[in-house]
Amino acid sequence: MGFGIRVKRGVVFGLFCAAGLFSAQAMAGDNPKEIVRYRHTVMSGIGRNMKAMATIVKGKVSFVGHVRHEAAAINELSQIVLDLFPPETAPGKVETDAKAEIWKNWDDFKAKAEALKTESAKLVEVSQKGDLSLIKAQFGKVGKTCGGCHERYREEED
Amino acid sequence: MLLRYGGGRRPERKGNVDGVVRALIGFIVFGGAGLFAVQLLHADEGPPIRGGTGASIDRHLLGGFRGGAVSREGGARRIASSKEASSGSISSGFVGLKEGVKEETETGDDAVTRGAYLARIGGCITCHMDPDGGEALSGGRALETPYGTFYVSNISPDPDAGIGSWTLEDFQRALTKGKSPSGRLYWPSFPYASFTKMSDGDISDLWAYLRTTEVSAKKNREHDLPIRDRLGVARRVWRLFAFRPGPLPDVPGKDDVWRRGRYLVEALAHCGECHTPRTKIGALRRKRALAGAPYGIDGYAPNITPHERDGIGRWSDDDLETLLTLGMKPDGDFVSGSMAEIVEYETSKLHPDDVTALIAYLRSIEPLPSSGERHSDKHGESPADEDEEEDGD
Repeated sequence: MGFGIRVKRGVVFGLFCAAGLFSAQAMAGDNPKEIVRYRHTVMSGIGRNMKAMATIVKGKVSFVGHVRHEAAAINELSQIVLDLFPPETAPGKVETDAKAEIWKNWDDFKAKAEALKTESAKLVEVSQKGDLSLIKAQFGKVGKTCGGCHERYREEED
Repeated sequence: MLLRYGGGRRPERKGNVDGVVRALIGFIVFGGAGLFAVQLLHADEGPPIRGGTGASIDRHLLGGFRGGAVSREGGARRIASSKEASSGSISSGFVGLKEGVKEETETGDDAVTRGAYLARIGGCITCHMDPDGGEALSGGRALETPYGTFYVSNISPDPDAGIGSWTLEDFQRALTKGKSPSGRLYWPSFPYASFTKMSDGDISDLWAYLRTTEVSAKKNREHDLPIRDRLGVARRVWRLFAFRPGPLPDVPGKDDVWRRGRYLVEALAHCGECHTPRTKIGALRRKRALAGAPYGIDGYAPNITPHERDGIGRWSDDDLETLLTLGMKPDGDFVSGSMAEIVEYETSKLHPDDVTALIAYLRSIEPLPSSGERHSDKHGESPADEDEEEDGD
């Protein structure tokens, strides 16, 4: 007994197709509102880590060695930022503070997301040295990438 | 006097009727011309002027409405410089504790050091620095506003292109009266309506510092405005409605920390020039002080009154200090645009005592809700909820 090579190949091929369709289903079929919520959560996560680092940078706590971890967390999250902005989550399609300009100026938006990756990576590097003034300076640069993108691509919140 | 009311006399008026009539005539003539000019000048931006003219007598400011310039020579209203008192003292950046000195900045034993600090936190450097880099305050930066594009001037000590040929009196007149040495009126893009409240001592210290900065021969660029305003009518109309020369009035019962904070906010750092909305003519709407306003072309300076929902009412002192020194908001996000610059070049340089005073003053002003279209009611969230937003809802 046994299945012929053709059948086996067919099954394998079929499994791959199913897997592909299944994962495409996970993305394309997502409720845009849920993606927007997810986006908020991830962004808040980045903000939380910045806030933790600020506590160290301001000298309120002395865990200078922790900066490396929080910076790494931000650098990790920065890798997924662009995924958070599929076209179906644009304003007009769903309620969001993201501006339509994101999708009109995708290259510039992408560059700003890259800036977060780059500067947070530098912060990881700088934080290895444990020099608080250098850390503070690079921390400020990361903060600038936050504001630099939000200024253009997010609705004012106040 | 007429016997107007039942049993008594109408109280005698101080001042002369003639002056009031002249002021009224001037008001009607310039106001009418100005309103006409304003229609030509301005597209619709912002709510209409309350009361038709916006020239309400402002009880906040000494003297209220005046037909002409206010003399500063008297000095009686000026808090006297206490340089003698300060010599030999340890500079703490905070003056209020010294008797008789409420507002003057004393952050070093010499004028140039003090002036350097003033040039920082007064925003001189931020605006006048060379946009192409370089140390000189050579100007050239473009300020885009709904009224047109203004080009910042050269305030380096160059005798021709800058202010090197000026005297201290020229400088004082520029800051407190908004006039050049030749009597030309400055546009309010130079926020002299705030700088007019600066103390003589601070102006003098600032002058001392500016004279030590690097020389630049960069020529000033003419503003790019929809009208020429050769006769200065638009500027005069603006001054009529929007400019109250002179220092901040004394307010009894307030402590020195508050006074210092008020001086920082209202005079030196001139926060209201961005954060207070304006009438169509461009006058600050005092009743909406610091309650948020558009700035530039599409920016927005948020509500920084102590309003709990719309302002900084729920921010802790630590939150506010973090914003001023790092530019970080309570949710870990950062300020952007002009405010990011202001943090970088100005507020992060504030002495700790000045930070304390600034915060104390902001907490004391009238808490005002934001105007409707700016409050983020869209998602039913308020800005203060961002802190608690853990699960994205």
